[in-house]
This record gives sequence, C-alpha cells and structure tokens, in this order.
Amino acid sequence: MNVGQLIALAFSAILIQNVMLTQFLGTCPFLGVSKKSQSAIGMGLAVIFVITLSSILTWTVYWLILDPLNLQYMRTIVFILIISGVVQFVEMFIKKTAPVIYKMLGIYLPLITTNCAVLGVALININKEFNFIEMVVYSVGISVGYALVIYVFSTIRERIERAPIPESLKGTPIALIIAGIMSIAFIGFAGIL
Amino acid sequence: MNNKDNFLKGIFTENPVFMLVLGMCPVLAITTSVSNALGMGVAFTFVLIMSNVIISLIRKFIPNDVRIPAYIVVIATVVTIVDLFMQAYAYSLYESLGIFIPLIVVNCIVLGRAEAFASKNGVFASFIDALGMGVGYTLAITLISTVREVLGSGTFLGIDVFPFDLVQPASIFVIAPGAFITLGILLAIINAIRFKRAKKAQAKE
Amino acid sequence: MKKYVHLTLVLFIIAFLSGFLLGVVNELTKGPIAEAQARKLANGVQNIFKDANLEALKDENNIVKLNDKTLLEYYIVYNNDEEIIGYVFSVDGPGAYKAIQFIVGIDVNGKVRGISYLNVEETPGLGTRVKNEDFTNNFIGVDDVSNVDIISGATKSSNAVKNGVQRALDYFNKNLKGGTNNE
Repeated sequence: MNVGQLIALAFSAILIQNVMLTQFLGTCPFLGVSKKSQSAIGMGLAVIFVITLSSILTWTVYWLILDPLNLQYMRTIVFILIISGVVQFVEMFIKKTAPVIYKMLGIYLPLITTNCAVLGVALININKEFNFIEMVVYSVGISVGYALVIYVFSTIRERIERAPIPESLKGTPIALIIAGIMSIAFIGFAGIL
Repeated sequence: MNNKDNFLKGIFTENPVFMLVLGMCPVLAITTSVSNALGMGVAFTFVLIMSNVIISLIRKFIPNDVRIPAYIVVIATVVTIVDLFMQAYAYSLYESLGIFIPLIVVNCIVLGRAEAFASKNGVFASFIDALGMGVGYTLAITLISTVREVLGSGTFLGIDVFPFDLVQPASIFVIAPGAFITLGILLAIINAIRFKRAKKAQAKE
Repeated sequence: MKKYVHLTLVLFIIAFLSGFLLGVVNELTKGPIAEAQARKLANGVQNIFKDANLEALKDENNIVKLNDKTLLEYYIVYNNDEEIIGYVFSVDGPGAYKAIQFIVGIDVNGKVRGISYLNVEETPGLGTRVKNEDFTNNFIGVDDVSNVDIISGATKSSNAVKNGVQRALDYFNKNLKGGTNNE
C-alpha cells in the first residue's frame, strides 16, 4: 500500500466511515459525556489513547498467538480482557507520571471499557485483515474522527441548552436529532474520495 | 417484589431502551429492518438470560474484588457461543448483524443487570429479570425498526406495505441519519406521554 | 498473600471452564459454519451457471487464490460431464461505504455470464440499486464493460462493480484464455 492509499484510508476513517455517525459505535459516552465541551475534549483524547494502544495490542495478540493456534473463536473474550487491562494500566500510568493529564482524563478512563468503539475497532481491524501499518492508520483515524465529532457535538449542545425547545424534546431526544443532522452532513464526505 | 412486577418492569418502567437509554449502539445500527431487530432481540435476550442465571448461580463463589472481570468472562463466553451458533445455523442473519453480535459483550445493559440484579438475587428472580429486560429490549428495537423499515423501504418484514407504488419510501430512514432522528422523535413522544400522565396524576391529587 | 492466591485461582477456574466450553462449541459448529459459507457460494454459482457441477466446486484443486485485494480468487466451474464451462471470480470491490462482495462468472469464450452478490453493505435505496436486474443484466454477454452505463446516484457503487468485472475479464484474457488452465 503506498502513501496515497494510506492517506485515503485515514481520510475515510476520520470522515466517511465515522465511527459514531455512520457505524454507531460508542453511542453511550457520546450522549453522556457531551454536555460540556471541556469534558468532550477529555473523553475524545482518552478515546484516541485507548483505541490506538488496545488496537495495536489486540492485533498483535490475534495474529501472533490466536491465529497460529487456531483459536480465532476466542477473540472476543481475549480482546475484552486486553482492553480492560489496557484501560486499567493507562489509568495507573497516567496517575503516576502525569497528574495534570490524569486530572483531565481520569474520570473518563473507566467509562471507556464499556465504550463499544474500542472493541469494535479491534474487531474491524481483524475482519478487514489489515496489515500493521494499515491497522495503526485506521485506528488512529477512527479515534480522531470520534474525538472530532464528540467535540463538535458538545459545542452544539452547549448552545441548545439555552434554546427554548419543547419540554419533551429536551435532553436525549434533541441530542439524537442533532446527531442525525450531523450524520446527514457527514454523508456528503462520501463523494470526495 | 413479585415475579410479575419483576418481569413487567423491564418492559415499561425500566425499559432499557426508552427509559434507561442504555446500550444504544445496536439499537441505532441494526434497526434497518424488522427481521434484523427480531434476530438481534432473540440473541440479546438469550445472552442476558444465560449470563444472569450463571452469575446468580456462582455469585457466592466469586470474591468481591474480581467480580467484574469474572462477569465479563462469563458474558463474553455466552456471546461467543451465540456468535458461533448463529454463524452455523443462521448465516445470513449473522452477516447482517455482523460486528454487533460480539459487541453485546460491552453492552451496558448486560453487565449492568449482572452487577445490579444477578449478583444479589436468586436464580429464578434473575431469570425473570433478564427475561423482562430482554423482552423490553426486543419490543423497543422492533418498534424502531418497524418505523424505519415501513418509512424507509416501504416494507414490513420484507412484504410491501404500500401497494401500487402509491408512496415512494424515503430511504433516509434506513441510512444512518434516519436512525438518530427516528429514535429521537420516538423518545420525545414517549416523554410527552409521560409528562402528560404525570400532570394528570398531579391534578388528581 | 493468601487472598491473592484465592482471587487468581477463582479467575483461573472461570477462564478455564469458559475456554473449555468454547472449544467444545467451536468443534460442534465448525462443520455447519463451513457448510453455510459453501452453500452461499454454491447458490451464487448456480445462478450464473445453471448446469454447474456444485460438488466439483468444493474440490480444493478447483480454487485458485489470487494475491490481490480486489480479485480474491477464482473457481473453475465444471458441468456434470466434467468439462470446464467457465470461471467464477470472487471480487471484493470498494463501495461508497464498505465493500461490495460479489462473484462474476465468465464462460470459456471470455463473455460474462452473470453477476451474483454475496454481500452488499451500501446505502439502502441508493448504492444497493447495483442489485437491480436492470443493472446486472447489462453485463451479460459482454467481453468489455466500457459500454455498461453506471447508475446515476450510485456512481461509486456501480463503478466498483464495473471495475471488478473488468479486472476479472482482464485476468481471464491474460491467463486463462483458450479454455485451458495454463497456469
């Protein structure tokens, strides 16, 4: 795969196959942690960190251990254990080495274990039979796309909070409708590549 | 709480989709057709029942400190079994649900029920709880997928509902934005009904 | 210390039991899964070549893997008299969102016999229109796809199919023409 194709892959991972708006992975934290742009940035950064790290680990374990031993069917169980391990490790590591970052990301890290985007990307990397470089580009792209969308979404929600909208639409319903409109906008990117 | 209330709470007052708004990823992703939703509902209910029952059975042997990893292993095992059986005996359903079958592992509802209910209650009560939650989940995604399939493809379970092409279906309901918008509007309608009822109840008092 | 031994032991037992259980289930479902996948391919091939011998399709000697991301492999199709009647290429085309997987049958004279889709994950109502017979029938009998019109509104999806068919035809003309398998 040449550089041009890798750029195309990254572009399509960030915008066209946006993990949240077209693949619906990671909806719970998307709706839950997007009320303030500050926390959206924190969640976005934590997601980039964890997805990249756990994708590299799960990919390596799958192709070096599970595949040669014909244990492909164990992947879901092994991946989820790796991911919860990574999250715990990242939490401890950041707490000790970078207290400032820990203060910013700390509370979002435990939430990430149940963010299905992490396990989802790990499984997609295997299903698409990516090689190592493609896997890294795709995982970084997907998580950057997630961070981008959750940040943009949170800035819209901050404004909506102050808008006069019907009582029954407040909260999750209006958030979902906004996500729908953003998703329409993102469909437009499909024409670029 | 008696068994009937325990069962019904999953369908109404604590409906995982409409009331708790949990586990939304598959709710948005696989509700493009009613048959997908029913398949997902059955798989999900099965996983929920099996993991709740197993966790309730072994709850006394599991030390508190390692309960979450232990639950995750149990859930992941059940999910993988469902995944393999679906691949073997319902291949086209397996293909259309794709990645969302293994992703049941990280669905907040399953781990949530294990932690909040099965770890504290007996086997039969846990079974009823899981059955109620599963049925509530299945009904909710069937409702969403009905709206999306009828408006988006003009069919219900693959059968044409608009004869003679009288109505041109709006395919936006089947693609990604339609998922968000349909769910948002359904939630708003349910909220509106709830508010109205609450007001009536208040007026009576 | 004793506590940690206990914790590890419990987790180990659970992991061991689940691994054992999954191993058993995997053994049970291995056969049916392979069969389900083969059946899907066989149905597609039968749609293209009515007189294909589906048993011969399962023979590993009749499957040639190609080292290519789009053109995955081809199958040599025999009829019941053990004559080669054509080739079926399995194509993984880049669609607008995800892949369009289909097989294209080419007869020994280098003409396309038909297309059958294995998996289309395109936008329903737009990209999925590549499944319409109005589109797929255009390929039947051609040896060059340049005259096949793409579907407006589904440019990327229909181009993916068109290019995939052309790749298969090119491969056929280069390596398989003459009716014999001269590899």
